[in-house]
Amino acid sequence: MTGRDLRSGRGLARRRRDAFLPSMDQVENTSGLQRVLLDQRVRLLRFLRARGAGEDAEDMLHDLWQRVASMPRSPVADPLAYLFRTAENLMRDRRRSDVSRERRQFDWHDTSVSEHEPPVAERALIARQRLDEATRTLAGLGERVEQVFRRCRLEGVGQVAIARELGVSLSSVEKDLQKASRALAQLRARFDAE
Amino acid sequence: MTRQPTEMIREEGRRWALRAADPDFSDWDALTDWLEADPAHLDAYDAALDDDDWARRLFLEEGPEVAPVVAANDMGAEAPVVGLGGRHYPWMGALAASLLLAAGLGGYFALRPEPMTEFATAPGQRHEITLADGSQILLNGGTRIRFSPSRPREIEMKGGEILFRVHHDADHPFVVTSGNTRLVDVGTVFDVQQQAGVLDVAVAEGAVLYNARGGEIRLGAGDRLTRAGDEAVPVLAKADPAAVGGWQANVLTYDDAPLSQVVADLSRDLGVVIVVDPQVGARHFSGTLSIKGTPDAVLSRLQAIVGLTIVRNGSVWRVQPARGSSS
Repeated sequence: MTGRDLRSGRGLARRRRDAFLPSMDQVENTSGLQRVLLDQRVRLLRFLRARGAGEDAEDMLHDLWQRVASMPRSPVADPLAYLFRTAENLMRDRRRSDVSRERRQFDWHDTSVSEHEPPVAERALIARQRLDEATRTLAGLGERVEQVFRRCRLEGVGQVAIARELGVSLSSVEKDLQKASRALAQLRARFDAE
Repeated sequence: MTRQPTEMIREEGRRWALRAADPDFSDWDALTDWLEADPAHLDAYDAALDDDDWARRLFLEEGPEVAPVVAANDMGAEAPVVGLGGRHYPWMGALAASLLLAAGLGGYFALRPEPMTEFATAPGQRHEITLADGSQILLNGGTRIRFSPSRPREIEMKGGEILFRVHHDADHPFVVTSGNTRLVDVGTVFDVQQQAGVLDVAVAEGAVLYNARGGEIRLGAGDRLTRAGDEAVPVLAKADPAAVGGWQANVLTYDDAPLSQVVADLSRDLGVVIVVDPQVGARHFSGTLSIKGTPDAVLSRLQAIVGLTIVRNGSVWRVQPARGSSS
C-alpha cells in the first residue's frame, strides 16, 4: 500500500497512482473473472484509455479488479464481455461523479442559482409537458419505431429478441432505434434552448 | 474539453451507444477502434449516452404512469426528485427488466428497469461518494451499500461503517436502511456501523431518527445508539461529536470500548486480520488512536498504549497478554 492521503476528501476516488499489480496473495485467491482480467489486461486497458480514462486507465483497471473481487462468485457466461461491460459502467460512474462535481462547484460559486429554479410544482408541470411532447414525438415516428424504442430502451429487451418478435431484421431494429433516439435528442436540444 | 462533433459523428455516436446498450453486445474491440480513431468520437458517444439517459428518465420516472410503480417498490418516500441527476446503467437495467419480463410481470410501465447502484469497499479501502445535492457518503473499509440511482438519498447499508454528511432537505429526507431499521436524518453529520444486526449510530451534528420495529428514537448531536442485534434493545450513550467519524481523519476515539471492538475497527480500517487472545478481548480501552501509517506502525503504537503484545504471524496479527506479564 503506498501513501494514501485519506484526508484529501474529494481526492479519494483518484488516490492511486501506483501501477496495477496485485500481490501474490491476491493472485492466489483470484476468481476466474480476475484471471481473465489479468490475461486480457492490455485489451481492457486500451478500451479504458479510448473510453476516456486517459492516464488514469491503470487506476480504473485497479477499480475494475476491486469491483470484480467484491462480486459474489456466480458463474458468468462470457467473462470477457462481462469485464468490458463492468469497465464501461465504471467509466459511466466516473463521468457522472465528474459532472456532479462540476455542478457542485458551479453551485458553490453562485449560490443564487437555487433561487432562480422554478418551484417544485412548476417543475413537475414542465416535466409533465415534456413527457407529453416526447410521447407525441415518438408516436409521430410510426408504430414500429415507437414499439422498438419502448421495448429496447424502456423495458430493456435485447435487440435480437425484438427483431424476432417483430419478424424484422436486426439491422432494421437498429435503424428504428437510431431514428427514435435521434428524434428525442433533437427534442432535448430544443427543450434546453427554451 | 468538449469538442463539437459533426452531425455525422454524432450519428455514429448514437449508433455505438445504442449497440453497446444492448445486453448481448460483445463487440468491445470494435468500439475501442472507433473511439481511438478520432477524439471527437468519445464526445459523440458520451453525448449519446446522456441523451439516452435523459429520454429514459423522462419516460420512466416523471410520467404519471409510473407513479403507482414507484410507490410500490419504494420505501415510502415521495415521487423522485426532478433533476436530481441520477444516471442509469442501461445494461443492468436491461437485465433486470428482462428478468422481470420473464417472471411475467410485463406491461409497459409495470416495469421500472432501474437497477440498484452498488458500492463495496474491501477492508482497508475507502471510498467517497458525493451526491448531486452535495451530500457526502464516506465508506470505510468492508462496507457495502446500494441505492437506486434516481433516489440516491435512500441508502441501503449492508455491513461496515459509513460517515454521512447530509445536505438536509425537509421534503426529501435522507434515509439509511439496514435490515428492519431506518435512520432518517434531520440535517446531519452521522456515522453508522453495522454488521449483521449489530448497529452503532453516532451523531455529530443535527439529528437522526432511529426507527425500528415500530419504535422511534431521536438522536441529537452527541448521542450514540448501540444495538447488539436485530432483536436487541437499543442502548443510548454519549458520543463526543468531534470524534464521530474520526476514522475519516485517521483517528479513532474510544471511551471504555472493549478491545475486541477496537480490533474489529482496526481490521476494517487497515485491511488486515487481527485476532485477540480471549484472555484480553474483554479489556476496555479509552483514548485516541491514530491509524495513519502501515499496519505494523499502527499496531505497534496500539501495543504501547494498551500495554499488550501484538505479534505478527504471516498475514495475521495476534493481540495477547504482554510478555512477562503474569495475567
